[in-house]
Amino acid sequence: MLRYFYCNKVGFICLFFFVYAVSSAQVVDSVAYNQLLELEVVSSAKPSSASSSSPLQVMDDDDFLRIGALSLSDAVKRMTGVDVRDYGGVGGLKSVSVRGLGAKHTAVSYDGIVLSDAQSGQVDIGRLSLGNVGMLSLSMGGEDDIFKSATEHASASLLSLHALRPSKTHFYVSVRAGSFGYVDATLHHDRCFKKSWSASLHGNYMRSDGMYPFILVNGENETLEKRRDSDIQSFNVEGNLFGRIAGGDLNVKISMYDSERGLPGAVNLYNKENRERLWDNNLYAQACYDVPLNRFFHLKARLKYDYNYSKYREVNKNYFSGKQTDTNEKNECYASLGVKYEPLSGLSFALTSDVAYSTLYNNFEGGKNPRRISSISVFAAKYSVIRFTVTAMLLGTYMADEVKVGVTPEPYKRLSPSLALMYQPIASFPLRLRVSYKDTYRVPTFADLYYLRLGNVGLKPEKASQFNFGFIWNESFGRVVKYASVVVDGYYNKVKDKIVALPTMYVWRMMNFGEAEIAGVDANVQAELAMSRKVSLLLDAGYSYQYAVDVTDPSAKNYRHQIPYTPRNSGKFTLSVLNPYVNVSYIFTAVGERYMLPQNTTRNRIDGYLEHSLSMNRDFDFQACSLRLQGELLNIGNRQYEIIRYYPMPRFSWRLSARLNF
Amino acid sequence: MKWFFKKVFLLTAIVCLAACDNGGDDLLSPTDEYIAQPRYLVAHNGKVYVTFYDGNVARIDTATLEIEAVARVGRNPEQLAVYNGSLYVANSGGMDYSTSLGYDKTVSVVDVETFTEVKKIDVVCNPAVVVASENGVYVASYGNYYDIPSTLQFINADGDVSVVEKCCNMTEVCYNSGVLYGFFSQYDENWNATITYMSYNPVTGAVETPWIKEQELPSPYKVSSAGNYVCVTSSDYVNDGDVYFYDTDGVLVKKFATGLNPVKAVAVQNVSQNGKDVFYVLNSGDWKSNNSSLTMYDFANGTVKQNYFELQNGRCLGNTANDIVVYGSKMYIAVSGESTIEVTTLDAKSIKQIEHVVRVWK
Repeated sequence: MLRYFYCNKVGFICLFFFVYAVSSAQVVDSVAYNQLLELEVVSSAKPSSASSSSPLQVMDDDDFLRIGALSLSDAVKRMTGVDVRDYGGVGGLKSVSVRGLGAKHTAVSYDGIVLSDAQSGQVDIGRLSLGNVGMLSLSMGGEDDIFKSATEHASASLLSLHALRPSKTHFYVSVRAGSFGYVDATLHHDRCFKKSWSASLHGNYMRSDGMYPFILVNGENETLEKRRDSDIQSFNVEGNLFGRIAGGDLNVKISMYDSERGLPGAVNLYNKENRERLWDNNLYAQACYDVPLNRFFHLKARLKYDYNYSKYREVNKNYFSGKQTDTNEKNECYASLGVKYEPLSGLSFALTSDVAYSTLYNNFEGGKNPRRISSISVFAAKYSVIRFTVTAMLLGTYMADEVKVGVTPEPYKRLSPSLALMYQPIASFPLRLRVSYKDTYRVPTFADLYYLRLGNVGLKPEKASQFNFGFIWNESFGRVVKYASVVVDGYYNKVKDKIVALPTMYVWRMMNFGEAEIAGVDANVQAELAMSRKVSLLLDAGYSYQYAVDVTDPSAKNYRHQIPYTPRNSGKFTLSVLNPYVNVSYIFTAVGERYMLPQNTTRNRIDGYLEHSLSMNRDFDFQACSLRLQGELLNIGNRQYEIIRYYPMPRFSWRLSARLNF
Repeated sequence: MKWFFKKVFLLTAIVCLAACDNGGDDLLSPTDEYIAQPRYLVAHNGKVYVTFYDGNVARIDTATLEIEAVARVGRNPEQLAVYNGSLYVANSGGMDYSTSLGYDKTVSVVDVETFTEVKKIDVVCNPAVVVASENGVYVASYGNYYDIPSTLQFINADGDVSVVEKCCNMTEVCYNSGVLYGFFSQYDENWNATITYMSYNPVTGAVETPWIKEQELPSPYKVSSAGNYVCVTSSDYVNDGDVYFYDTDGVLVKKFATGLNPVKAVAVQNVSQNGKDVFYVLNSGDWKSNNSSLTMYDFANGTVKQNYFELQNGRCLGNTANDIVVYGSKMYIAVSGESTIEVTTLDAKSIKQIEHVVRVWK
């Protein structure tokens, strides 16, 4: 099978040098061009969370630096209404569940195209480094930008990332070190060409031993252990090209990711041995073209090809050959075309259609090797004036699978509506009220349907309905309070036909089983205070209440028990002091108790925890270059806690980085 | 200056790219030690025999509590029983279901005296349950969960196999006072289960369907023989389970709640205050959730105590306790996920933890 990755490192070295050589060949007068570029470069507007008709949280690269967020999971953990399911360590899986719906209802997109995994349906956000990300936004249950791709509109929540756009030609080299053998090296090159064309190349290598100490509790005994088989090594290269053709914006991206990691597994009380490893290779290329056709019409086209190869291996004498090797190879081709029509100021209509073709090949005997054609289209209408916005969307999904062996399910077809309103009742008072409703549909993944023995072709899609209402207040007072906002949202989500893995006698089987109800409140307060001309204080506090219960069967033992891994109460708090000496941020997280299984018994209970961290940074400017020093002290309280039962989190750890820009 | 930085940049690029490959060497070489997983136990003549999932049977001396000898059998052995001077071990082959090798379909016959495998008998694929009777050995194969259903077979003293005609489909079975009690779970293509409770008397040939006199349990998990009772455990695999004790006529004697995934009940006779029986129910919990436990039921005063092993010892059983036997003055618990065999008194107080059974790969 297509496995050119192991030769591909050479290919990438060549590509890197080629690009560098080509760009170096353009000898330009850098001063003159930088001046021109400052006028010409159009950066994408940062969406305003203060006027969004559905809950929206935005972070940019200044925020990532301030709070010391290195990977996507670090940043997402600071957001309100989000549970990050972290399996521990740098290489551990991290998936994001928004408002109790689960990781498969959250889509992650990068520059307008969703990162998909047709096989597992969830994205490991621990892998996505923020090194090249300029902006991150999380929208829950609705999206005011009606011109996003249809696949981005199809999920209950969307985590949208946007790459940093070069503003001037420069390089940087960054080196990081941290606890447990963590080393990270990044090389980055931005280059600006003439006439609004620019390119960036970002290369990153990361490794970690992952052998962190943890405390294991067994009845009355507590022992100090070391996490084994938790190492990781990864390599990532991303190239972006930005430009203007025929009055439209073009962005082309190529990305390669290669990693190898040990899977430590859940901790046993006595037997600590586990020999599982996972190799992942991912290569994708995407292009996005956005062009206004005339005064009324706007066109957006997207294209992507994605290749993914993963290998899992367990070494165990229980297998006849002494090991079990599972390999999966996924291919996906994606295309999207959208048209926006704005007949009047404030009124716009958009029609976007996405088509994707995905295939999965795995090495199981009798494996089904499915192929899927999916088409998602969305028709959206939006009317927006100063104090009122209404957005309505109708999303249609069509998916058809084909398998090499066995029964094929019927094609999936569904129409999902959504509606959102935002209203500012008093013109002079900056308080906005919002109401939204969204219906989504989560089609079973390849693993749900076709995994050997576990898969079930009779599965129906999982349906989720989300209803949100809330208010936003934001203001600035005089010279001191540059910005203050209070956002409170109450929500009700209902999930039906949940796709869960249930053991049936001796075999696990995917089934549609269950209904869950989630009612909650997300509250967030933010403020930016200018203490003096050079010192400012930033505050961000959030609290979530989630009543997330199973309502499948009134006679079941877990009826109306809190669903697994969803805390009822959780809170976050960040306080940053920005000043010319050293920027310091204090980061605090408090999470209440959770349960590892559906039944809320004492045995299944996982204690709540508090975590305190500190992040610092300082820039030094010299004539030829500038230096940035950044450091984080994580879990200063040295508290032993776990998010997933028996996957202990590291206690105290530190990270230090130095970045040289020139 | 800029020239210098550019060179550093390129050099770092080369170093990073070159450093990235790693073979991931945790493959076992022939001289490596590894930890084996105990599955099921049977006691006979001062010894306790235990199957290990890597394809071996070990013999533990009940006086020294040490593993004395190891015999090689088929792939992924499950239950075992003693009949006529031999051990009959079911080789399921379950770990290789996704490869071209597939399930195993043999029963190994191991001579107790020499403790070596004498022969392999062909049965229906994926044999797991082995029960000894006065005339031979009954083996229930689980089949392939697809087109081969669970099948009950009989191996006589000569080693001939035959499907039990009157009662050919049984998934779980136990033997009490000359009668086989069990149930058959059958799944249709929508994974709806039909449960049939059957008992079979090999001497008279009588089959009773159902043998339970009251309302049948919708979600039975395992069946075991404990003292004078037939115990059926019930589980929905997600929530804590229940235990039902029936007498040999199928009349419900006692029902109580227990831990997660109860696998077996054993009777410790005449030990409680009034000289009556104490029963233990072993709950295996979920794989890798360290929630296996022991539930104690005192027949005399009707008390049920959950997490009894933890209560008595201040520590937990751990990851997936698979089997329990009572022999002489001790109780033996095979904790599969922890590679330990807990040896306790009849009151569940730990005597020894036979731990980390280390084998060398040959």
